[in-house]
Amino acid sequence: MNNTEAKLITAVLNDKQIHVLLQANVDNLLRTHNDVWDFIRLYSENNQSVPPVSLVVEKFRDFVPVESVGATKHHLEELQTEYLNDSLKDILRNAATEVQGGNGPKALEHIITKTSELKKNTAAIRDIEVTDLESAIAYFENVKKMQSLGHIGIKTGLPGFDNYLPSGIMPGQLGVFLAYPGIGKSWLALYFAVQAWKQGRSPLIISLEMSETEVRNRVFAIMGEGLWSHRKLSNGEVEIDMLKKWHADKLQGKPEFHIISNDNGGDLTPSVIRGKIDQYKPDFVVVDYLQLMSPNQKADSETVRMKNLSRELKLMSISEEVPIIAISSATPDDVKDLSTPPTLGQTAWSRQIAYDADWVMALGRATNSDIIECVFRKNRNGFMGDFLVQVDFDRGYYRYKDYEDKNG
Amino acid sequence: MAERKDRMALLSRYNKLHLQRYEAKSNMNLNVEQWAADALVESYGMGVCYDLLDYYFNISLSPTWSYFAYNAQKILEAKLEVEQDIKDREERRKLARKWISE
Repeated sequence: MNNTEAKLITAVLNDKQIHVLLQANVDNLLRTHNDVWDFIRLYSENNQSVPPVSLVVEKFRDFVPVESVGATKHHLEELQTEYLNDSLKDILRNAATEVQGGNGPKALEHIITKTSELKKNTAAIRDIEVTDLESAIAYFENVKKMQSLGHIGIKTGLPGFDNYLPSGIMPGQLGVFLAYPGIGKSWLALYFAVQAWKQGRSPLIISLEMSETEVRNRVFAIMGEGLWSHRKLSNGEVEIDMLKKWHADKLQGKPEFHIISNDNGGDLTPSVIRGKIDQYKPDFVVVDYLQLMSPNQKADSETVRMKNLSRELKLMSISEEVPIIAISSATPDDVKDLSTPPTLGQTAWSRQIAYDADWVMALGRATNSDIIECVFRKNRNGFMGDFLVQVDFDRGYYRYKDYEDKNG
Repeated sequence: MAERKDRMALLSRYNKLHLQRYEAKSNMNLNVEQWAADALVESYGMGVCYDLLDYYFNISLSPTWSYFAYNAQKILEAKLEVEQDIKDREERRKLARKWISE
Protein backbone atom coordinates (compact mmCIF):
# COMPACT_ATOMS: atom_id res chain seq x y z
CA MET A 1 0.00 0.00 0.00
CA ASN A 2 0.98 3.64 -0.54
CA ASN A 3 3.28 4.71 2.27
CA THR A 4 2.46 8.45 2.12
CA GLU A 5 -1.24 7.69 2.42
CA ALA A 6 -0.60 5.30 5.31
CA LYS A 7 1.43 8.04 7.03
CA LEU A 8 -1.40 10.56 6.57
CA ILE A 9 -4.03 8.16 7.93
CA THR A 10 -1.81 7.27 10.90
CA ALA A 11 -1.15 10.97 11.54
CA VAL A 12 -4.85 11.84 11.64
CA LEU A 13 -5.54 8.90 13.93
CA ASN A 14 -2.79 10.11 16.25
CA ASP A 15 -3.34 13.86 16.39
CA LYS A 16 -7.13 13.79 15.65
CA GLN A 17 -6.86 16.77 13.27
CA ILE A 18 -9.61 15.46 11.03
CA HIS A 19 -10.79 18.95 10.05
CA VAL A 20 -7.51 19.41 8.13
CA LEU A 21 -8.42 16.51 5.85
CA LEU A 22 -12.11 17.41 5.61
CA GLN A 23 -11.14 20.84 4.40
CA ALA A 24 -8.63 19.66 1.82
CA ASN A 25 -10.81 17.62 -0.56
CA VAL A 26 -8.72 14.65 0.51
CA ASP A 27 -11.19 12.13 -0.97
CA ASN A 28 -9.77 12.88 -4.39
CA LEU A 29 -6.15 12.61 -3.27
CA LEU A 30 -6.34 9.15 -1.78
CA ARG A 31 -5.90 6.25 -4.16
CA THR A 32 -5.23 3.24 -1.96
CA HIS A 33 -6.63 4.27 1.43
CA ASN A 34 -10.03 5.64 0.39
CA ASP A 35 -11.94 2.91 2.25
CA VAL A 36 -10.03 3.59 5.50
CA TRP A 37 -10.61 7.33 5.17
CA ASP A 38 -14.35 6.82 4.49
CA PHE A 39 -14.62 4.76 7.66
CA ILE A 40 -12.78 7.42 9.74
CA ARG A 41 -14.95 10.20 8.33
CA LEU A 42 -18.22 8.36 9.00
CA TYR A 43 -17.10 7.32 12.47
CA SER A 44 -16.19 10.91 13.27
CA GLU A 45 -19.54 12.23 12.00
CA ASN A 46 -21.47 9.76 14.11
CA ASN A 47 -19.40 9.89 17.26
CA GLN A 48 -17.80 13.33 17.21
CA SER A 49 -14.38 11.77 17.69
CA VAL A 50 -11.70 10.06 15.63
CA PRO A 51 -11.67 6.23 15.96
CA PRO A 52 -8.84 4.61 17.92
CA VAL A 53 -5.99 3.14 15.85
CA SER A 54 -6.74 -0.39 17.14
CA LEU A 55 -10.30 -0.23 15.77
CA VAL A 56 -9.10 0.84 12.33
CA VAL A 57 -6.45 -1.89 12.25
CA GLU A 58 -9.02 -4.48 13.30
CA LYS A 59 -11.38 -3.38 10.55
CA PHE A 60 -8.78 -3.02 7.79
CA ARG A 61 -6.31 -5.88 8.05
CA ASP A 62 -4.12 -4.52 5.25
CA PHE A 63 -3.69 -1.15 6.96
CA VAL A 64 -0.46 -0.97 8.93
CA PRO A 65 0.05 2.19 11.02
CA VAL A 66 3.38 3.88 10.38
CA GLU A 67 5.65 4.61 13.30
CA SER A 68 7.05 8.08 14.02
CA VAL A 69 4.68 10.19 11.97
CA GLY A 70 4.32 13.97 12.21
CA ALA A 71 1.33 16.29 12.15
CA THR A 72 -1.60 15.67 9.79
CA LYS A 73 -0.96 18.99 8.07
CA HIS A 74 2.62 17.99 7.24
CA HIS A 75 1.65 14.63 5.77
CA LEU A 76 -1.22 16.19 3.87
CA GLU A 77 1.21 18.58 2.19
CA GLU A 78 3.50 15.62 1.44
CA LEU A 79 0.62 13.73 -0.16
CA GLN A 80 -0.51 16.78 -2.12
CA THR A 81 3.01 17.25 -3.51
CA GLU A 82 3.30 13.57 -4.40
CA TYR A 83 -0.14 13.60 -6.00
CA LEU A 84 0.76 16.75 -7.93
CA ASN A 85 4.05 15.32 -9.20
CA ASP A 86 2.53 11.97 -10.27
CA SER A 87 -0.47 13.58 -11.90
CA LEU A 88 1.67 16.14 -13.75
CA LYS A 89 3.86 13.35 -15.10
CA ASP A 90 0.75 11.50 -16.35
CA ILE A 91 -0.69 14.64 -17.95
CA LEU A 92 2.58 15.52 -19.69
CA ARG A 93 3.13 11.94 -20.85
CA ASN A 94 -0.36 11.80 -22.38
CA ALA A 95 0.04 15.25 -23.95
CA ALA A 96 3.43 14.26 -25.38
CA THR A 97 1.88 11.16 -26.98
CA GLU A 98 -0.86 13.32 -28.55
CA VAL A 99 1.70 15.85 -29.84
CA GLN A 100 3.84 13.09 -31.31
CA GLY A 101 0.73 11.80 -33.07
CA GLY A 102 0.30 15.28 -34.58
CA ASN A 103 -2.76 16.09 -32.44
CA GLY A 104 -1.73 19.42 -30.84
CA PRO A 105 -5.27 20.82 -30.14
CA LYS A 106 -6.30 17.62 -28.37
CA ALA A 107 -3.10 17.72 -26.33
CA LEU A 108 -3.83 21.32 -25.29
CA GLU A 109 -7.41 20.49 -24.34
CA HIS A 110 -6.18 17.52 -22.33
CA ILE A 111 -3.65 19.67 -20.46
CA ILE A 112 -6.22 22.38 -19.63
CA THR A 113 -8.87 19.94 -18.37
CA LYS A 114 -6.52 17.85 -16.32
CA THR A 115 -4.54 20.72 -14.78
CA SER A 116 -7.74 22.46 -13.62
CA GLU A 117 -8.82 19.21 -11.94
CA LEU A 118 -5.39 19.01 -10.41
CA LYS A 119 -5.65 22.55 -9.06
CA LYS A 120 -8.98 21.71 -7.47
CA ASN A 121 -7.57 18.70 -5.66
CA THR A 122 -4.37 20.29 -4.43
CA ALA A 123 -5.39 23.85 -3.59
CA ALA A 124 -6.41 24.73 -0.06
CA ILE A 125 -9.79 25.94 -1.21
CA ARG A 126 -13.14 24.25 -1.21
CA ASP A 127 -15.54 24.28 -4.08
CA ILE A 128 -18.90 22.86 -4.89
CA GLU A 129 -20.88 22.56 -8.07
CA VAL A 130 -24.27 24.22 -7.47
CA THR A 131 -26.11 22.01 -9.97
CA ASP A 132 -24.73 18.84 -8.36
CA LEU A 133 -27.90 17.52 -6.68
CA GLU A 134 -26.21 14.52 -5.06
CA SER A 135 -23.75 16.74 -3.22
CA ALA A 136 -26.58 19.04 -2.06
CA ILE A 137 -28.67 16.10 -0.79
CA ALA A 138 -25.67 14.61 1.00
CA TYR A 139 -24.98 17.98 2.65
CA PHE A 140 -28.60 18.51 3.80
CA GLU A 141 -28.89 14.97 5.09
CA ASN A 142 -25.67 15.37 6.99
CA VAL A 143 -26.78 18.70 8.53
CA LYS A 144 -30.15 17.19 9.50
CA LYS A 145 -28.46 14.20 11.07
CA MET A 146 -25.98 16.38 12.96
CA GLN A 147 -28.80 18.67 14.15
CA SER A 148 -30.83 15.71 15.37
CA LEU A 149 -27.81 14.48 17.31
CA GLY A 150 -27.32 17.98 18.68
CA HIS A 151 -23.89 18.12 17.10
CA ILE A 152 -23.92 21.29 15.08
CA GLY A 153 -24.99 24.73 16.21
CA ILE A 154 -24.45 25.88 19.77
CA LYS A 155 -27.66 27.20 21.33
CA THR A 156 -27.50 29.96 23.89
CA GLY A 157 -30.67 29.32 25.86
CA LEU A 158 -31.77 32.89 25.06
CA PRO A 159 -34.86 32.44 22.84
CA GLY A 160 -34.24 35.76 21.07
CA PHE A 161 -30.76 34.82 19.95
CA ASP A 162 -31.66 31.21 19.13
CA ASN A 163 -34.70 32.27 17.09
CA TYR A 164 -32.78 34.84 15.07
CA LEU A 165 -29.86 32.47 14.46
CA PRO A 166 -31.82 29.22 13.98
CA SER A 167 -28.84 27.01 13.18
CA GLY A 168 -27.10 28.05 16.40
CA ILE A 169 -23.48 29.17 16.48
CA MET A 170 -21.89 27.00 13.82
CA PRO A 171 -18.30 25.88 13.29
CA GLY A 172 -16.53 28.30 10.94
CA GLN A 173 -18.63 31.27 12.05
CA LEU A 174 -17.12 34.55 13.14
CA GLY A 175 -19.44 36.41 15.49
CA VAL A 176 -18.85 39.83 16.98
CA PHE A 177 -20.13 41.49 20.15
CA LEU A 178 -20.01 45.24 19.67
CA ALA A 179 -20.58 47.69 22.53
CA TYR A 180 -19.25 50.74 24.32
CA PRO A 181 -17.06 50.07 27.36
CA GLY A 182 -18.68 48.73 30.51
CA ILE A 183 -21.88 47.38 28.97
CA GLY A 184 -21.33 43.65 29.63
CA LYS A 185 -19.77 42.28 26.42
CA SER A 186 -17.31 40.01 28.21
CA TRP A 187 -19.96 38.75 30.63
CA LEU A 188 -22.34 37.85 27.83
CA ALA A 189 -19.58 36.13 25.83
CA LEU A 190 -18.70 34.08 28.93
CA TYR A 191 -22.38 33.21 29.35
CA PHE A 192 -22.38 31.91 25.75
CA ALA A 193 -19.21 29.92 26.45
CA VAL A 194 -20.78 28.35 29.55
CA GLN A 195 -23.87 27.41 27.52
CA ALA A 196 -21.59 25.74 24.94
CA TRP A 197 -19.83 23.90 27.77
CA LYS A 198 -23.17 22.72 29.19
CA GLN A 199 -23.95 21.27 25.76
CA GLY A 200 -20.80 19.17 25.90
CA ARG A 201 -18.52 21.56 23.98
CA SER A 202 -15.11 22.65 25.07
CA PRO A 203 -14.71 26.45 25.16
CA LEU A 204 -11.47 28.42 24.96
CA ILE A 205 -11.46 31.97 26.31
CA ILE A 206 -8.64 34.26 25.25
CA SER A 207 -8.75 37.13 27.68
CA LEU A 208 -6.45 40.04 26.96
CA GLU A 209 -7.91 42.48 29.44
CA MET A 210 -8.59 40.35 32.51
CA SER A 211 -6.46 37.87 34.40
CA GLU A 212 -7.34 34.19 34.05
CA THR A 213 -8.41 34.05 37.71
CA GLU A 214 -10.82 36.95 37.27
CA VAL A 215 -12.30 35.23 34.22
CA ARG A 216 -12.58 31.98 36.20
CA ASN A 217 -14.47 33.81 38.97
CA ARG A 218 -16.92 35.07 36.38
CA VAL A 219 -17.25 31.61 34.82
CA PHE A 220 -17.90 30.08 38.26
CA ALA A 221 -20.57 32.72 38.95
CA ILE A 222 -22.31 31.89 35.65
CA MET A 223 -21.91 28.12 36.01
CA GLY A 224 -23.23 28.30 39.58
CA GLU A 225 -26.47 29.98 38.41
CA GLY A 226 -26.89 31.86 41.66
CA LEU A 227 -24.81 29.64 43.91
CA TRP A 228 -21.79 31.92 43.91
CA SER A 229 -21.50 35.66 44.30
CA HIS A 230 -18.91 37.05 41.91
CA ARG A 231 -18.08 39.77 44.42
CA LYS A 232 -17.39 37.18 47.13
CA LEU A 233 -15.41 34.96 44.78
CA SER A 234 -13.20 37.91 43.86
CA ASN A 235 -12.72 38.53 47.58
CA GLY A 236 -11.79 34.92 48.28
CA GLU A 237 -14.88 34.44 50.45
CA VAL A 238 -15.52 30.83 49.46
CA GLU A 239 -16.25 27.78 51.59
CA ILE A 240 -13.76 25.28 50.27
CA ASP A 241 -15.88 22.23 51.20
CA MET A 242 -18.82 23.68 49.33
CA LEU A 243 -16.59 24.41 46.34
CA LYS A 244 -15.27 20.83 46.38
CA LYS A 245 -18.78 19.38 46.50
CA TRP A 246 -19.96 21.66 43.73
CA HIS A 247 -16.93 20.76 41.64
CA ALA A 248 -17.56 17.03 42.10
CA ASP A 249 -21.26 17.40 41.26
CA LYS A 250 -21.14 19.80 38.38
CA LEU A 251 -17.67 20.02 36.86
CA GLN A 252 -16.07 16.60 37.03
CA GLY A 253 -16.22 14.57 33.86
CA LYS A 254 -17.42 17.57 31.88
CA PRO A 255 -15.57 18.98 28.83
CA GLU A 256 -12.47 21.08 29.42
CA PHE A 257 -12.89 24.85 29.73
CA HIS A 258 -9.66 26.72 29.03
CA ILE A 259 -8.88 30.34 29.82
CA ILE A 260 -5.80 32.01 28.41
CA SER A 261 -4.73 35.44 29.52
CA ASN A 262 -1.85 37.65 28.62
CA ASP A 263 -0.52 38.90 31.92
CA ASN A 264 3.11 39.21 30.79
CA GLY A 265 2.22 41.79 28.13
CA GLY A 266 3.61 39.86 25.14
CA ASP A 267 1.92 40.05 21.75
CA LEU A 268 -1.01 37.72 21.29
CA THR A 269 -1.34 37.13 17.57
CA PRO A 270 -3.67 34.91 15.51
CA SER A 271 -0.73 32.48 15.11
CA VAL A 272 -0.56 32.07 18.89
CA ILE A 273 -4.32 31.54 19.03
CA ARG A 274 -4.12 29.00 16.20
CA GLY A 275 -1.45 27.18 18.22
CA LYS A 276 -3.74 27.18 21.26
CA ILE A 277 -6.62 25.90 19.16
CA ASP A 278 -4.41 23.07 17.88
CA GLN A 279 -3.31 22.36 21.46
CA TYR A 280 -6.72 22.35 23.19
CA LYS A 281 -8.99 21.55 20.23
CA PRO A 282 -11.86 23.72 21.50
CA ASP A 283 -15.37 23.78 20.02
CA PHE A 284 -15.96 27.43 20.86
CA VAL A 285 -13.47 30.31 21.01
CA VAL A 286 -13.94 33.76 22.53
CA VAL A 287 -11.42 36.54 21.88
CA ASP A 288 -11.74 39.28 24.48
CA TYR A 289 -11.06 41.75 23.06
CA LEU A 290 -10.09 42.44 19.51
CA GLN A 291 -8.48 45.87 19.88
CA LEU A 292 -5.92 44.38 22.30
CA MET A 293 -4.78 41.69 19.86
CA SER A 294 -1.85 42.03 17.46
CA PRO A 295 -2.03 40.79 13.87
CA ASN A 296 0.60 38.41 12.47
CA GLN A 297 1.82 41.11 10.12
CA LYS A 298 3.00 44.32 11.76
CA ALA A 299 1.37 47.54 10.62
CA ASP A 300 1.81 51.16 11.64
CA SER A 301 -1.80 52.20 11.24
CA GLU A 302 -4.47 50.91 13.62
CA THR A 303 -6.91 50.62 10.73
CA VAL A 304 -4.59 48.37 8.71
CA ARG A 305 -3.84 46.40 11.89
CA MET A 306 -7.55 45.75 12.44
CA LYS A 307 -8.08 44.85 8.79
CA ASN A 308 -5.34 42.22 8.94
CA LEU A 309 -6.55 40.91 12.26
CA SER A 310 -10.12 40.61 11.11
CA ARG A 311 -9.13 38.70 7.99
CA GLU A 312 -6.86 36.37 9.97
CA LEU A 313 -9.61 35.59 12.49
CA LYS A 314 -12.11 34.88 9.73
CA LEU A 315 -9.72 32.53 7.95
CA MET A 316 -8.91 30.85 11.25
CA SER A 317 -12.55 30.16 12.07
CA ILE A 318 -13.02 28.58 8.63
CA SER A 319 -9.82 26.57 8.49
CA GLU A 320 -10.01 25.35 12.09
CA GLU A 321 -13.75 24.72 11.75
CA VAL A 322 -14.48 26.37 15.05
CA PRO A 323 -16.82 29.24 15.89
CA ILE A 324 -14.99 32.35 17.06
CA ILE A 325 -16.67 35.19 18.94
CA ALA A 326 -14.63 38.36 18.87
CA ILE A 327 -15.47 41.12 21.30
CA SER A 328 -15.03 44.55 19.84
CA SER A 329 -15.20 47.97 21.37
CA ALA A 330 -17.32 50.70 19.84
CA THR A 331 -16.02 54.24 19.68
CA PRO A 332 -18.03 56.46 22.01
CA ASP A 333 -19.44 59.43 20.19
CA ASP A 334 -20.14 62.75 21.92
CA VAL A 335 -23.47 63.10 20.14
CA LYS A 336 -24.75 59.53 20.70
CA ASP A 337 -26.46 58.08 23.70
CA LEU A 338 -24.00 55.57 25.20
CA SER A 339 -26.83 53.48 26.58
CA THR A 340 -28.13 52.58 23.11
CA PRO A 341 -26.57 49.77 21.03
CA PRO A 342 -23.91 51.17 18.66
CA THR A 343 -24.09 50.86 14.90
CA LEU A 344 -21.58 49.06 12.65
CA GLY A 345 -20.03 52.40 11.74
CA GLN A 346 -18.92 52.88 15.33
CA THR A 347 -16.68 49.80 15.44
CA ALA A 348 -13.40 50.99 16.90
CA TRP A 349 -10.58 51.66 14.40
CA SER A 350 -11.95 49.74 11.42
CA ARG A 351 -15.26 48.38 10.20
CA GLN A 352 -13.51 45.46 8.53
CA ILE A 353 -14.47 43.08 11.34
CA ALA A 354 -18.12 43.94 10.73
CA TYR A 355 -17.67 43.12 7.02
CA ASP A 356 -15.93 39.81 7.73
CA ALA A 357 -18.21 38.66 10.54
CA ASP A 358 -21.12 36.30 9.95
CA TRP A 359 -23.11 38.10 12.58
CA VAL A 360 -22.61 41.22 14.67
CA MET A 361 -24.59 41.79 17.81
CA ALA A 362 -24.55 45.28 19.29
CA LEU A 363 -25.21 45.64 23.00
CA GLY A 364 -26.52 48.62 24.94
CA ARG A 365 -27.36 49.17 28.57
CA ALA A 366 -28.59 52.26 30.38
CA THR A 367 -26.59 53.41 33.41
CA ASN A 368 -27.48 51.35 36.49
CA SER A 369 -29.90 49.20 34.48
CA ASP A 370 -29.77 45.41 34.64
CA ILE A 371 -31.23 45.02 31.16
CA ILE A 372 -28.94 44.59 28.15
CA GLU A 373 -30.44 45.50 24.81
CA CYS A 374 -29.10 43.13 22.14
CA VAL A 375 -29.49 44.05 18.48
CA PHE A 376 -28.29 42.06 15.48
CA ARG A 377 -26.60 44.67 13.27
CA LYS A 378 -25.65 41.98 10.76
CA ASN A 379 -26.77 38.39 10.41
CA ARG A 380 -25.85 36.26 7.41
CA ASN A 381 -27.60 33.20 8.79
CA GLY A 382 -30.86 34.48 10.16
CA PHE A 383 -32.90 37.54 10.99
CA MET A 384 -31.78 41.01 12.08
CA GLY A 385 -33.86 40.94 15.24
CA ASP A 386 -33.35 42.38 18.70
CA PHE A 387 -34.13 41.21 22.22
CA LEU A 388 -33.43 41.99 25.86
CA VAL A 389 -31.49 40.11 28.49
CA GLN A 390 -31.91 40.79 32.18
CA VAL A 391 -28.65 40.15 33.95
CA ASP A 392 -27.40 39.83 37.47
CA PHE A 393 -23.65 40.04 37.04
CA ASP A 394 -22.97 39.20 40.67
CA ARG A 395 -25.06 36.02 40.73
CA GLY A 396 -24.47 35.06 37.10
CA TYR A 397 -28.15 35.12 36.08
CA TYR A 398 -29.14 35.76 32.47
CA ARG A 399 -32.84 35.91 31.63
CA TYR A 400 -34.35 36.52 28.24
CA LYS A 401 -36.94 39.29 28.06
CA ASP A 402 -39.09 40.19 25.13
CA TYR A 403 -39.70 43.84 24.25
CA GLU A 404 -43.33 43.41 25.34
CA ASP A 405 -42.31 42.65 28.90
CA LYS A 406 -39.56 45.28 29.03
CA ASN A 407 -41.37 47.14 31.76
CA GLY A 408 -42.79 44.03 33.36
CA MET B 1 -33.15 87.26 11.30
CA ALA B 2 -35.05 85.46 14.07
CA GLU B 3 -37.18 87.36 16.55
CA ARG B 4 -35.27 88.62 19.58
CA LYS B 5 -37.72 86.85 21.92
CA ASP B 6 -37.01 83.51 20.13
CA ARG B 7 -33.24 83.98 20.37
CA MET B 8 -33.52 84.77 24.05
CA ALA B 9 -36.02 81.95 24.64
CA LEU B 10 -33.52 79.42 23.28
CA LEU B 11 -30.73 80.80 25.49
CA SER B 12 -33.07 80.80 28.42
CA ARG B 13 -33.98 77.14 27.75
CA TYR B 14 -30.28 76.30 27.67
CA ASN B 15 -29.70 78.18 30.94
CA LYS B 16 -32.56 76.30 32.59
CA LEU B 17 -31.16 72.90 31.54
CA HIS B 18 -27.66 74.00 32.54
CA LEU B 19 -28.89 74.97 36.00
CA GLN B 20 -30.64 71.60 36.40
CA ARG B 21 -27.54 69.68 35.33
CA TYR B 22 -24.77 71.58 37.09
CA GLU B 23 -26.78 73.17 39.90
CA ALA B 24 -25.09 76.43 38.97
CA LYS B 25 -25.98 79.26 36.64
CA SER B 26 -24.33 79.39 33.26
CA ASN B 27 -21.98 82.33 32.84
CA MET B 28 -22.66 82.90 29.16
CA ASN B 29 -22.84 86.41 27.77
CA LEU B 30 -26.39 86.65 26.40
CA ASN B 31 -25.58 89.63 24.21
CA VAL B 32 -22.83 87.71 22.45
CA GLU B 33 -24.47 84.29 22.30
CA GLN B 34 -27.79 85.59 21.00
CA TRP B 35 -26.26 85.64 17.50
CA ALA B 36 -25.40 81.96 17.67
CA ALA B 37 -28.94 81.35 18.91
CA ASP B 38 -30.21 83.43 16.02
CA ALA B 39 -28.38 81.25 13.49
CA LEU B 40 -29.77 78.09 15.10
CA VAL B 41 -33.36 79.35 15.16
CA GLU B 42 -33.02 80.57 11.58
CA SER B 43 -31.62 77.21 10.43
CA TYR B 44 -33.79 74.73 12.29
CA GLY B 45 -36.79 76.59 13.75
CA MET B 46 -37.70 76.85 17.44
CA GLY B 47 -39.30 73.43 17.82
CA VAL B 48 -36.28 71.53 16.45
CA CYS B 49 -33.88 73.67 18.51
CA TYR B 50 -35.77 72.82 21.71
CA ASP B 51 -35.82 69.11 20.84
CA LEU B 52 -32.13 69.19 20.00
CA LEU B 53 -31.28 70.89 23.30
CA ASP B 54 -33.25 68.27 25.24
CA TYR B 55 -31.61 65.43 23.29
CA TYR B 56 -28.16 66.95 23.79
CA PHE B 57 -28.61 67.28 27.55
CA ASN B 58 -29.87 63.69 27.65
CA ILE B 59 -26.87 62.11 25.95
CA SER B 60 -23.96 64.36 26.83
CA LEU B 61 -21.95 63.89 29.99
CA SER B 62 -20.83 67.53 30.11
CA PRO B 63 -22.97 69.67 27.83
CA THR B 64 -21.83 73.20 26.94
CA TRP B 65 -23.50 75.96 24.95
CA SER B 66 -20.55 76.44 22.64
CA TYR B 67 -20.43 72.72 21.70
CA PHE B 68 -24.17 72.78 21.07
CA ALA B 69 -24.02 75.92 18.96
CA TYR B 70 -21.10 74.69 16.82
CA ASN B 71 -22.26 71.05 16.46
CA ALA B 72 -26.02 71.39 16.15
CA GLN B 73 -26.02 69.73 12.71
CA LYS B 74 -24.00 66.75 13.98
CA ILE B 75 -26.33 66.41 16.98
CA LEU B 76 -29.37 66.59 14.71
CA GLU B 77 -28.00 63.88 12.40
CA ALA B 78 -27.21 61.61 15.37
CA LYS B 79 -30.69 62.19 16.81
CA LEU B 80 -32.33 61.38 13.48
CA GLU B 81 -30.15 58.27 13.09
CA VAL B 82 -31.16 56.99 16.54
CA GLU B 83 -34.84 57.72 15.87
CA GLN B 84 -34.64 55.94 12.51
CA ASP B 85 -32.90 52.97 14.14
CA ILE B 86 -35.66 52.67 16.75
CA LYS B 87 -38.29 52.83 14.00
CA ASP B 88 -36.48 50.26 11.83
CA ARG B 89 -36.05 47.90 14.74
CA GLU B 90 -39.72 48.11 15.66
CA GLU B 91 -40.59 47.29 12.07
CA ARG B 92 -38.15 44.38 12.01
CA ARG B 93 -39.54 43.08 15.31
CA LYS B 94 -42.98 42.83 13.72
CA LEU B 95 -41.51 41.06 10.69
CA ALA B 96 -39.51 38.74 12.94
CA ARG B 97 -42.66 37.69 14.77
CA LYS B 98 -44.25 36.85 11.46
CA TRP B 99 -41.11 35.06 10.27
CA ILE B 100 -40.80 32.96 13.42
CA SER B 101 -44.48 31.97 13.46
CA GLU B 102 -44.37 30.77 9.84
